Amino acid sequence: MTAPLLEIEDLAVDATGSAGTVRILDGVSIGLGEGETLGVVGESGSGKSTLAAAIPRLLGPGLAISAGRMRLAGEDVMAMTPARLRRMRGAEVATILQDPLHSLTPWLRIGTQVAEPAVVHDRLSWKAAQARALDLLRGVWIPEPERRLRSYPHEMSGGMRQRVAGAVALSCAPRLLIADEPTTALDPTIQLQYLDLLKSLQREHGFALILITHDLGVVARTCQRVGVMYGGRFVEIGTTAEVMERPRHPYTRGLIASMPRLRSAGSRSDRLAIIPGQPPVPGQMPPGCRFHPRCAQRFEPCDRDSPPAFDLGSDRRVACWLERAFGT
Amino acid sequence: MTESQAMIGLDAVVKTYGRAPRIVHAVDGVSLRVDLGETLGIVGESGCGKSTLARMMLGLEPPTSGVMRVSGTDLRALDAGQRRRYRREVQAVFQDPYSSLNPRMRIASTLTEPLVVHRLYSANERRDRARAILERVGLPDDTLSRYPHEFSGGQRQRIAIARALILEPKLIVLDEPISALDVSIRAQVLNILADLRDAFGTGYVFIAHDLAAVATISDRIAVMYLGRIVEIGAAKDVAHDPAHPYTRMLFAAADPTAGTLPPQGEPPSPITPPAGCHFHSRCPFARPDCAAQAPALREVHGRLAACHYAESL
Repeated sequence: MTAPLLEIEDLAVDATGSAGTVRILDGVSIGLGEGETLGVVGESGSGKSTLAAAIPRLLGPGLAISAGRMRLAGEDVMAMTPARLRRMRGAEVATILQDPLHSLTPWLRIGTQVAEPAVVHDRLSWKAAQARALDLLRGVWIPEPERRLRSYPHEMSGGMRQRVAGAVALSCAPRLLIADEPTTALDPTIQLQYLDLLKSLQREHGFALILITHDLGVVARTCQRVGVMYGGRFVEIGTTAEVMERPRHPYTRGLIASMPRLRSAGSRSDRLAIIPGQPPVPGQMPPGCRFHPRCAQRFEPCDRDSPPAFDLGSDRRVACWLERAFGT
Repeated sequence: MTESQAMIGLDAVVKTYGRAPRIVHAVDGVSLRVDLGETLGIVGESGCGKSTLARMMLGLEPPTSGVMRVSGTDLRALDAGQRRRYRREVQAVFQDPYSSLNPRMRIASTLTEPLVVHRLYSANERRDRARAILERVGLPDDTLSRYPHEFSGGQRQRIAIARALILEPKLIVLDEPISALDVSIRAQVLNILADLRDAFGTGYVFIAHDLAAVATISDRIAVMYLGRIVEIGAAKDVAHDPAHPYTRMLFAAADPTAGTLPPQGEPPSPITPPAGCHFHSRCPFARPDCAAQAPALREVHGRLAACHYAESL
């Protein structure tokens, strides 16, 4: 077996501010093979977007990787020089963010923005890059791509802009695409189109995809594997089918049970299963297992010791003391 | 049911913005009724007019044309006293609990202010009522002396619901009340809304783009597309057996197990909507006459749908 595309071991990210240092990510380990799709699910404050930014080492001010190892195709990401990092971002690891109004430059024509990475990273002439941009726009199903090259971002719909962001991301044929809530700002029917586009682009170009989302439905449609984050850690990792159908961590189980279902339409007396309380805020993490204050199944070790990720085989890991107590 | 039981009745209501030639028909001839105590869900993509409809029901925007009735009386014909009563009986909860609560007011003032405005109860009774309503939405007593910034999004939305509820309204219009909340908090708020409805008999107009959430809480669902209602009926019928091609597309998109073909195209501009049936440009079943003639809402399998070919799809 060849080395996986991405290996992350025990990654920790700290935020330093006037109130001191707060750990945002803690002991995060995950691997990803070439061409694989991993969904990362979590609520606000779970650390999922911090993870998305940490991989290409694009953490914002005040945030820093404080521990752990990251390897991209065997190469130590932590040891990369600034020049190597620039090349890695964009050409090898590309990112799509939630709101393309922020990631696209408002006063530059679409053609310029889609062509630019090829000029910077692949040393193409602007003319050749424009030709590639046209192909890229066609590739992300933009109607009338010739005309759209001359458009500005504000002249396009949100769904169209997000496709342009996809074209920018793919312009240098990255091996890994990180999409952070790419469909959250889009209408449901447009969301579905976009996920379909991502899957089809992946089949065509073969990149690996990390899809960060709060929406388990998006993961179920798109990803082979899923990692569920809570309080800055992965609490459960496995194939999407396994995790969705047989969730083991009480948080994952609660999350899936609390989703409203279309089939329960119009029954007034029904209530949803709920997880009591609210997600913890970084800096105020409970001791032990971070989910224990909301967990109906907590027992003796939970408020004291943080559970390790128990390996249940076939790529399934669950960070819950129940796995130790009941065996596997 | 008779017309007199309708809390709110809309008859061919139109709301336009802008001036010719760039007129947006945000709401384009909508007729519907919200009965006392019922929950009507309104769904549709952005720009379909659902929020404009909500604002008109709240009296925040007058219709450009058409008639809106409150408990059977034309809104324009209400006298000052009736208008005050309508403002008390119809309350609102909006999407963003960060901007809908005054950051400089303690929760006690936020909750009792509606009672003060309507000159209800003594100061002590007002405080008792605020305490009682907080308990109903699952927040502790000491909430009263705190400020909004001390609460999470989910807690703030509970406070906003408590504020809407304190006047004992007959109807609460909720415009995307859960979309800004974390997934595990959405179910909590949906359950609270269902419990409050049982306890007080309050009706809801529930607007959201989360179709499963709308289906769960609604008795009836109205589906809007480019300012028009394309289907309206019992939640079960609309969610499980949609009659209109657009409803089918929308609900297939919401069902992760559906594995259906992704929908085609994007919603056209509401400034230049397609002629005839607005949906024909994206409809997989469209025939030539769909572009020529706009279909009227008519009964199809026990609900209303606006499609020439609803029966033969």
